[in-house]
Amino acid sequence: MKRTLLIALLSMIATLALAVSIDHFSPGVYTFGADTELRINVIDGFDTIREVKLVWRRTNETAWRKEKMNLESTGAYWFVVDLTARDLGDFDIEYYFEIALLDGNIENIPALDGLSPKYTLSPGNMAGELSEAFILLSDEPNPSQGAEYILAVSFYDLATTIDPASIKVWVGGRDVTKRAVITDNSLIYRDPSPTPGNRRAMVSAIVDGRQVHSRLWSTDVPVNPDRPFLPLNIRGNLSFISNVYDLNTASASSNLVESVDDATGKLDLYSTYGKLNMQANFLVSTLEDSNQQAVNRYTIGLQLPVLDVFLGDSTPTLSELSMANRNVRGLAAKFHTKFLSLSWVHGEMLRATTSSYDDGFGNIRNTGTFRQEAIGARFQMGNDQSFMLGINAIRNRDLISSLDPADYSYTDANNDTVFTTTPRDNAVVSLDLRLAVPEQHFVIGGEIAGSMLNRNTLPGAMSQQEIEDYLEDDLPINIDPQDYAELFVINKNIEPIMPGRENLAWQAYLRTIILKNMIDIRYSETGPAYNALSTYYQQNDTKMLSITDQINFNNIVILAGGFNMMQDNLSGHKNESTKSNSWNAQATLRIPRFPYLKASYFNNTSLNELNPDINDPAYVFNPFERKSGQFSFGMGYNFIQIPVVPTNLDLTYRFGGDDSTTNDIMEYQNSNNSINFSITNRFVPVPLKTQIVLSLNQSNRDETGSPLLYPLFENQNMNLLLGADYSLLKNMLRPFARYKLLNLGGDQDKQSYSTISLGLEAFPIRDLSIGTEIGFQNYKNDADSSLDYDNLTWRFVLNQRF
Amino acid sequence: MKKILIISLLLVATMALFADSAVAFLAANRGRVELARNNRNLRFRAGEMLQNNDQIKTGNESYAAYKYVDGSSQVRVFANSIVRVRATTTNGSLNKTVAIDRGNVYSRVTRNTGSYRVETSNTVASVRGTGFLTKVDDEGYCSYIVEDGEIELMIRSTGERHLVGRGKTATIDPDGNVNIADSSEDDLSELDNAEEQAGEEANIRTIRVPVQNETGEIKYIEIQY
Repeated sequence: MKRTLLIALLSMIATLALAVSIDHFSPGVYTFGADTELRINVIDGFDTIREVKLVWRRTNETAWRKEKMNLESTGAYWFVVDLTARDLGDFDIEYYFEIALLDGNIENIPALDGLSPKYTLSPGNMAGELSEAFILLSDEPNPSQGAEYILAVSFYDLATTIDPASIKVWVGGRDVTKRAVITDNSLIYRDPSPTPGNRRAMVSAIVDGRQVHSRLWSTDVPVNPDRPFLPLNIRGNLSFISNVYDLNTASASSNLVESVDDATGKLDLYSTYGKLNMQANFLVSTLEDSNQQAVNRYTIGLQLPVLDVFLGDSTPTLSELSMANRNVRGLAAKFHTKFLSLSWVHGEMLRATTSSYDDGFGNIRNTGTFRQEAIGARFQMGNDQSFMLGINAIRNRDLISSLDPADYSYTDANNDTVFTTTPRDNAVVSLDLRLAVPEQHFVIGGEIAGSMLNRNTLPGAMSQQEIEDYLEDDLPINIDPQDYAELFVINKNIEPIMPGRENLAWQAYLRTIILKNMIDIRYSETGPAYNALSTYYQQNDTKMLSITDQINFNNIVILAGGFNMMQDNLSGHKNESTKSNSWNAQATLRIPRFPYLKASYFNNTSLNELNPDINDPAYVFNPFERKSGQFSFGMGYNFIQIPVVPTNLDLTYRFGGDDSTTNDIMEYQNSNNSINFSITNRFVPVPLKTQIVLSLNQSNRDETGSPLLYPLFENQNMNLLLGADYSLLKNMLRPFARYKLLNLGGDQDKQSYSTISLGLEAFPIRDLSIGTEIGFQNYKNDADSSLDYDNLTWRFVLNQRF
Repeated sequence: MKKILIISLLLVATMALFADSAVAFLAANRGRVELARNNRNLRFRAGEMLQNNDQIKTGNESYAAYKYVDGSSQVRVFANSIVRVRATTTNGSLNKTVAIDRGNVYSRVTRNTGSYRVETSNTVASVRGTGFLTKVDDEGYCSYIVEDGEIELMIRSTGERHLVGRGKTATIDPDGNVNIADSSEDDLSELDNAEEQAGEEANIRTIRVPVQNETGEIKYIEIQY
């Protein structure tokens, strides 16, 4: 029960420490033979999202699988993905969401901190009522049956009222009715060569016009001693996607560029042999260009209980501040036991590329990117379920030999060599600690990292004497940097020249559950000279504090709130500092069989302050303050009571405003409100699903302090989506149609974007899907018809699971 | 004539339908177990569905168990026993009868759906919500050791009826004389021994018969029993 509450708690909202706030209600159960839809609603931070993936696995597996989630419609930010009946089988599933942001960072919800349990799915949501009249007769082992799996079920009490043609037998999540022998009061299903493991079985039927089902019975199938079981399990996915574009613009001088036609082939193979997990992932795209960063991906991985080895492309994470979420093409290996682990990463992080540009004086100059090699190592004692201490060392090096000097330099009029780009060396050393007490739901930890960045290694390493002459002081330790040039090049271009607080970054976090409150506190500081090329963008010279709290009352009322503070100029070297405070409160009410209600409020204030430590009379300080607040109220309901067409309804109303003042003079005051209505109908008499999403938005500038800079306006936009899906030939063919319309009006140029999409998905054989879609987008600008354009997109998708 | 023909056809069809209806499920069998249907031995496999009037015969160190399709009862047939499986449907209830020719049979009735009776040559026991062991020997002596619940015992020859409760043993001689007493240690150990015997693996013996072929090569035929 505790775990259920905890999971439900986490199903509400991600912490404000993350850039994205989502809402996901896990269904918790799935139905045999049916796909299960998982949806997340992005409440805040949608504009920062690049991609959302579902990461899932069966609980008896070690390897995770990823499925890309699709943005369902405009106006309402829902990401949706289906887990197919074949993937689900009859297994327990655990999953989480991986949200890739535009800045390259990745957020996982729930967080992978060893405290937050993953979402889970179990079989159980069977259509209709539970009937105890289905009696399992084969509930005891039979010495003579050997390794054969036998399911014998009696429905004697239903013999006169059951519809025999409606009886369905499910074993292992699959419909095995055709292989079962069904009499007027019982049925028996046999599998002479079952795969060892746990099998779940169920029977469903229509009795007196009502759908009923049996209990879910679970049986452990042992290994057949007479027939050695080769514990080899292979599964995978082969897909091919192609896109063809055709852009027609009203004006030949339009800046619009037609997207490049592309085709991508992808193969993912996963196999398990006893304790060995193997995987091979290949992605080949026509967008691959040897003079651009790699698009293709090639990975071969082996995982044993104590050793993981990945060859090719991988995204190793050693620690958040040293190496995380960057693709490395090479070798990533990890030796791990319960109390000790060693990780090693070595490969190419950036490919050498060349390009050119106009320097503004009519000269074409060459530039490029050096091939960047990354080496990383981590030594860890302990594990994330108790105490853990980790030491990390990373070195990134731009290889000078990867580019020709003509690609990154030229001689100017004064015969001086000018470099258009320079090779860098970057070294990071970090120490991280973590203490987790899972039974107490308590995790505390932190990391401190120091870096050195050499922005130009071309001059080579300086000698000890040269450095001492440069610094006009002796070095604190007697070493000659030239002896260590292979590791790291030290010259005048390093930041900082003398290590100090400026090149440090550190963070600390605490997560715990107290009286059902899930509390998360994070604090981080990043020095102005901290650079870690093996991670994504970090905000230098900044400190951040984040506090969030979530509480769940029996899955019915869920409350969440958070506070976030960010401030730059940590080093105090700038004349002014910028500070941003934001806080939010969110609530959800979900009473079973009643409409659900949700409400939220987000508030943000940004301002600047003069730095009193720098007294620069020439500096002109203009204090500003920008505030914004956004309310939203929503409700939804699943009208299953409508027999012919169960309907899912969601309604959300948002309103808010923002204003800006500079030097205590109001610059502008804006307000906005929007209403979003979404309705999905699943018809019962016919296999038709329809969807209507309507979003009306109004944004105004109500007041202005400077009509020239901030003119008043009233803008409206309307977003409409109409969609229909139909199933033919027992779901073997699924034609669909979509119409999207976005109208912009008010004081802005009156514009409209309309898109019509027609498509067809076919499932000719099991686990094979072939789909095609044609989309026609039309853009019209009433104020300037030369901006009009049409864009035709044709997409073809082929996917085979095995 | 036509009417007789139609009625006969209907009867046959009904009987055929009824004959196809399963009344029980052979839940377990070990060792030498024979299944006869319509007085003919049937080749069967694990998990066979049993029909009305099927006969189960167990040999030495053998065991079989079956459950009635209404899920109300389980019958365990121990070594050297002959049992006939009977069941009829009346008003939607399955009326079950275990006819014991000889041997030891344990009955456990968990649901009172339809009647449950155990018949021997000279007794009929009606039970409800109970577990008990019935023993019949070749000389016609039979006994009922009641572990749980209560049975009503009727003597065929005299029509006498007796109630035998939990922890009691009823012994009936071929003349129909009944003796009901507290179950002795021996009686209770009979139950345990039968359970143990059912749980033990069969003691499989093998005979290797040498055979010489035309080339003088000796090969062996292996017989397991």
